[in-house]
Amino acid sequence: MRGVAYVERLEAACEETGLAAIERAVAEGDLNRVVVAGCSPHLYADRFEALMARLNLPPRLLARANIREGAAWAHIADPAAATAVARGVLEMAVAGLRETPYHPFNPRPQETVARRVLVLGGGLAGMTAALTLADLGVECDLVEREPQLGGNLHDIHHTLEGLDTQTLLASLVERVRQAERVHVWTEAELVGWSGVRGNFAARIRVNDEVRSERYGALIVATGAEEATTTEYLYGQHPRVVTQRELERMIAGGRRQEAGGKMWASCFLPLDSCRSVVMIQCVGSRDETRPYCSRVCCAQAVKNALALKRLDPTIEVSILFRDVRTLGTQELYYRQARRAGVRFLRYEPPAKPVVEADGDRLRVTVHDTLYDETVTLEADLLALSTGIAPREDSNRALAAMVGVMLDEDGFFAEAHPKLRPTDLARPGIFLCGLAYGPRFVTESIAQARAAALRAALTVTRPGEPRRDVATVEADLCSFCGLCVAACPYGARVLDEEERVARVLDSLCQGCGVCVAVCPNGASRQPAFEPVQALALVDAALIE
Amino acid sequence: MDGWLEVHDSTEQTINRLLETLLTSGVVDGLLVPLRTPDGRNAVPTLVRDPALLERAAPLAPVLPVNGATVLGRITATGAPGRVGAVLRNCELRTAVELSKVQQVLLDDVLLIGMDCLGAYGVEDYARLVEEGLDAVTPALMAAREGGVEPLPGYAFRPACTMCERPIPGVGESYAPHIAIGLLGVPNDERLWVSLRDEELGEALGLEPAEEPAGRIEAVRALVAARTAERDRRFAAFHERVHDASSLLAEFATCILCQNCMRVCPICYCKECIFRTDVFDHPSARYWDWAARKGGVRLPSDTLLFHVTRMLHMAHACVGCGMCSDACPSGIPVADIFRTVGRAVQARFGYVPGRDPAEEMVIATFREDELRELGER
Amino acid sequence: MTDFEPRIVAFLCNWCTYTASDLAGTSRIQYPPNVRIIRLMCSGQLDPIYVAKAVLEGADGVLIGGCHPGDCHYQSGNYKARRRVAIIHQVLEQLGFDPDRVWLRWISASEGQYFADTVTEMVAALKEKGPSPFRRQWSV
Repeated sequence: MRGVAYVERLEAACEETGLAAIERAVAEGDLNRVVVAGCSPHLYADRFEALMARLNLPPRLLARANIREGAAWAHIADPAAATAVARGVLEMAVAGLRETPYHPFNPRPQETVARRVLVLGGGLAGMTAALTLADLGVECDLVEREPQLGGNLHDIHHTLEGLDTQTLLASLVERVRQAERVHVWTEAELVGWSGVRGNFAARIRVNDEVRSERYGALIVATGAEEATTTEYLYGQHPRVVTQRELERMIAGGRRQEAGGKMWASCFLPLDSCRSVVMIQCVGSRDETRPYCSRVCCAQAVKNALALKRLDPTIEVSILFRDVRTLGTQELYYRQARRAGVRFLRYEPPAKPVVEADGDRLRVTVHDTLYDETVTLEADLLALSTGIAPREDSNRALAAMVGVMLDEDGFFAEAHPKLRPTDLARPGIFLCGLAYGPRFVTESIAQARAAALRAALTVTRPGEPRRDVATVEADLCSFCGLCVAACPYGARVLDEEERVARVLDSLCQGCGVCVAVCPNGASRQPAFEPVQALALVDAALIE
Repeated sequence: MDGWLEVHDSTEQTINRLLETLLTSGVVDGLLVPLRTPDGRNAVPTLVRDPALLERAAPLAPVLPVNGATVLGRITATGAPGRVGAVLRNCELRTAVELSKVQQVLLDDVLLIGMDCLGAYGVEDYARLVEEGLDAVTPALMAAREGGVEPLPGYAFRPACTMCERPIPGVGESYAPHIAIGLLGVPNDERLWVSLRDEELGEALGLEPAEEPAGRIEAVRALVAARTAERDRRFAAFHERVHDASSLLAEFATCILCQNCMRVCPICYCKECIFRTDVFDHPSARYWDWAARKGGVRLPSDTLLFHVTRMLHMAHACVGCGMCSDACPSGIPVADIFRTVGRAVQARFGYVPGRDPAEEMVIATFREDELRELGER
Repeated sequence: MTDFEPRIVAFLCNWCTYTASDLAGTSRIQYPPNVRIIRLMCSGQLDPIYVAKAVLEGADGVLIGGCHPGDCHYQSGNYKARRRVAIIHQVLEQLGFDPDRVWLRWISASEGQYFADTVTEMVAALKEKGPSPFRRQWSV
């Protein structure tokens, strides 16, 4: 193969001995490009990157020919074919490398990083994230819009599994107040945001005063709220409540709580309730709110079991569409059935019908499992209204910090599988109900993950970036197609010089700007168009 | 606001006086308008600041030496120091709209002036007919009064013009300029049909408001129908000629890779074409590799790749001005090819080049809910 | 045409389809040896010129692999790739070249079997079609 000056067979190129052998061969032969034929480039990329750094060569001058996953294993039944493919793959690696220009490698300057994180939202997720950051040695500001910390956790008294969330709340608030590295700002609000990962500038309004701060990362934990409804006489009949209000009643929530948004019905003495009906999926899983709120089935089962514990003779009926008790929550569902909770399945458009019957209620439902219409007399009707995003404030915040909402109005993660706690803009992370409906334990886990991601962002020194796109200024026509194409806002037009610029810290190296640029003014150092065309040619060698 | 503009002396002089009014009254600070070259054999877009020069203005001269939108870019893209009135043919107007989407023309300070395009000749033909002492304008205006558009006997319009189904500014899927001057289907020796974007200008120009005459509507409809038929005939002829690899190679067999088509194409706005950069500056050994694989390699290499890449890059925005065909020294009907391909790409996305500056270019955007069948088994 | 072996140039996105091809390998899922893979970071990185080059240099087929809609590692690269492929199809078709030699497929990282099936299916389809008319064509 043209250009190949030296070949050595190694037992394992990725092991120390192999890497040392490559290092020696390059030094002795004064070589400037390396092909490693072996396993997939998805493996050990960091080792080869480090090797190139030691050799003082640009990392793009090392090519990986995937002859294991791509040849030997994929064609294991046909050794001759496997060999032919391996040869082809090797030809391509050599051809691509041959055409890769040897520019002296200029690592970009290191970025300076602000070692401080802003956590927006002082609920369960926000407090957990802040404490996790503090435990990791990272300073953070916890900004809460309300006068008190805790958010939705105030309204959750225990989980289905029996975790005492009020004790958890009290201890979280206490720990947050005590933590030296957590600075709490209540009745405060983010009003300005700019900058890039590692170096954001924020303006925060606290009591009519606007403070300016610098942060390396942001965690969005602004929560969501229990959805409200006008269906099923809610707001019209005192014996119609939401699941959350029922939970408060069960918890002995006769005490007046701060916020005071409670319905008069919450003070109904439960002992007057002999029959409780619950309706699931209220205002959910329909055209206006198509998603499932995930927690309501468990919440209904939780409250039904609690009622049965208070008094086993209380009749509880749950009118559901699908029971979605997740994982081992299924055990509690079975427990509820055993305790005598009745489950009746309805199917829209045949929704239950609720009528006032003096002080009481009459609920008529067509049970699709028995295919018959049932009328239930109820002293109390609890509606599972689900969780709704704080749409207006979400939209305002998303626009301010430059991230996206999903079609339901919650914040949209960068990738559902690969980057579930990242927002699309580097350095901004997400946890809790702002991301969508989830359980207490899930919020805690996600808050810790987000905190870890944020901590890594602000504690790692800024690394020289090798994957960012570049612009050949001589070729750039200032057309702006790359600006429109970049999903990260990493491209701007420099009006002065009439050239497109790359904001390094926002660039994720996807190459969309390269593909959209008609004349190759947009480049990716790791994948030059000459390489690509050479690869195509080599791919066609017979 | 639509209405009549009285013609005094000649049609062309009336238009020139209108231009002069714009310039002297300060509506614009300069005019981009074709002027007759001193020898009279050409009419070239000129940025005019002295009203005296408008004596030579030839807005009706049927010749298109360069796409005016390209030069409009030169005088606006980096910020014009004043407002320019640009007299453009409808294909040039479409081009200006497309170029504004890629920052090559700034329309902010442009007063667009369009008029019914009665067809244009190639530069050589136009020079020849002037040399022969022929007047191309008067007979064209006479024919237009009767609703017809015909070339002079013994001459032919540029092929792109014969298949141009959008010759009338603001009509159908054409962008409406600030001032549109109608010549077709109206007594253009007595009065001109003028459409304005804003009322105020109407008063300044002494416009007499009126309903669009039925005769004009009918003439425009007939012209568009005839042009569309010719366009479709040319599309069909292309497909008749080119239907497989060998006929495609035959279509470009005479290409000398001079790249003139790209240089004169207004939509090919790149500062430098990728085919003229380091990407195609191959090391010698590459040619030997190709020759080894294929038995031989045509040189210069990548002739067809050049044309196909150009189609991939700009066919979606091809406005059909036909500069490419004019510029081809080998007589390849480049415009026919690009219009045929462009039409298909544009139709796929419901995109109409030059319709609206706010319409996003095909390659500049996407929709999540489109093309769903693509990518699925 | 039984002895004709098509040659496919595949442009696969790093995160989904290339990983699927790796998975096919590690799972020893066998597929025909007719494909040569070029790894892109994202299907949205696919410059149409690469496809034109492959077609005109005589590739019998071009396979473009990306993440399923909504799953793009870079948010929307696959939607942009889809538009580009639609343009490529239109241009090729108008020029009398069978656009069905250029395939776009969404193949996620876990779909090793689907990757192998796709290659198998494509090789069979291309055998039906016969060699590319640009194979060993010196005069392009």
